[in-house]
Amino acid sequence: MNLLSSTLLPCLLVSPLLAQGAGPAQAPDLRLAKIHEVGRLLPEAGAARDESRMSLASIASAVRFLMQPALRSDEELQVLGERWLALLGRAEQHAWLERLTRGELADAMPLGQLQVQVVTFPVARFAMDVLPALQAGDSAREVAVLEPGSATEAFTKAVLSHQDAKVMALDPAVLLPLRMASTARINETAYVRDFDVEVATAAFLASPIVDVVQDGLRVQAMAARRDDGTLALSLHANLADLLKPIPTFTTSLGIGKPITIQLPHVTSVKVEAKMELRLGQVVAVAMPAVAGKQCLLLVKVAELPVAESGKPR
Amino acid sequence: MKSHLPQELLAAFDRGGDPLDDPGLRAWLLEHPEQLAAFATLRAQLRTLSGMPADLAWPVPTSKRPWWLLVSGAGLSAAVLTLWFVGFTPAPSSQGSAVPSPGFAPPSAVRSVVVSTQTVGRDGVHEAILWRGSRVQQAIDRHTVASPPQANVTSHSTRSVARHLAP
Repeated sequence: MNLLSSTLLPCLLVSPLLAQGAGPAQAPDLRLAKIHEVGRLLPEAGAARDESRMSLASIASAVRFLMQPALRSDEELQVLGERWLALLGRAEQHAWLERLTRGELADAMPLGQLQVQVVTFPVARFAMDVLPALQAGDSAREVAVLEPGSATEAFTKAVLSHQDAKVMALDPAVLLPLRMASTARINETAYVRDFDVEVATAAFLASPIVDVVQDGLRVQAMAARRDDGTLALSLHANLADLLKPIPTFTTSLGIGKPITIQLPHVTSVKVEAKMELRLGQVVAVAMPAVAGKQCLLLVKVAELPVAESGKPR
Repeated sequence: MKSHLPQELLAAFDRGGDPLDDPGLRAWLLEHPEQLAAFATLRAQLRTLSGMPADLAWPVPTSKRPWWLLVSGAGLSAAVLTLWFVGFTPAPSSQGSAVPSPGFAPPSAVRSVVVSTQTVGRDGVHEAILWRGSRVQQAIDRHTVASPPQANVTSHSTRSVARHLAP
């Protein structure tokens, strides 16, 4: 009895717990967290800090969409600092990202040419004439893939020839696999950001510090070819508007004349879209209204024009 | 999105006029761009109606409205109601719009959309996601995200990754 109570009974009590623990094993967590340096994918040195930061966010967004194997809901990819991506994912995803950052995934064959047309309307005119055409059911499609054909041609022709439309074509960019292609129309405006003040015994010197503020439109795209021949495209459009004239602020330094600095006010809107499309299809992006104007972007991945030598230009 | 067009604007339509001719209503529309789509749809539909034959056009001043027009109007209403009940749905028309509808690819072509805004000015940097949508079984699952001003869009997720990186 003593033996039963001291050894056997505890074993009998514990055995169900042990059996439970030894039951169907939980799937091991195969995720690893690692930081990847992606400076090689960023714009070349000399680009503005804001531009680099925006490009890194765009790259992260595109990589999330294009990564193989695809990210699951419990896996994450995030921006860290100026040139790093933090990935919480499986080993094969880390390997894919490493190959991407080393440029090994970039095929030499371009996928096509990124062509962007920007059509700007007064906001009310856009709502009256263009938005209803993009209406599907009871909601407008801010981002829509358009099939080539007579209906889309008629739509494009009507938009481009609209009496209130201002049409602008961005420089075409070559779209390489898993490389960020970028095209932009940027205005740079100089402004007085601050003053460098030197005070001597009998003198006061305030030297203006001039900086540059940017506004305009930037379109970035990263794509990969799917097995079925379609393109998986991650598209980022950023439209910024600088309020003019630039607001000023005047202050007195206690001595000398008051100084006036300028405080730029930039409003920007950004549309990020992930889509699958074929060559020849057009992506229509209705940007949100900024400063009383609204833009329609017509983005097309077209076949590269072939030079006489037979190679794509 | 639910439409909240003001009574003055609807009254302008009732008078047979164009609200865009009224500076006050124009200003209201510019202040409420989220209502522009609803306004544009209503205006386009009314334009289509006004394109009907003159004797059926609406509205007609009461003093000029002959008795036979009332009778034909009642008949037309009865016909429309009958068609409605038997399940007839007229095809959508872009007659009122200056731009014809394009040929859309299947909606599944667009997988996700995020629309955000950023303001950089005297008060610092304000970022907000206006809305995000992802394709779920052929329909856009659209969420309007209420981000408070100065919310850093990526900070929360970055922190969650950082937790896993911590030893």
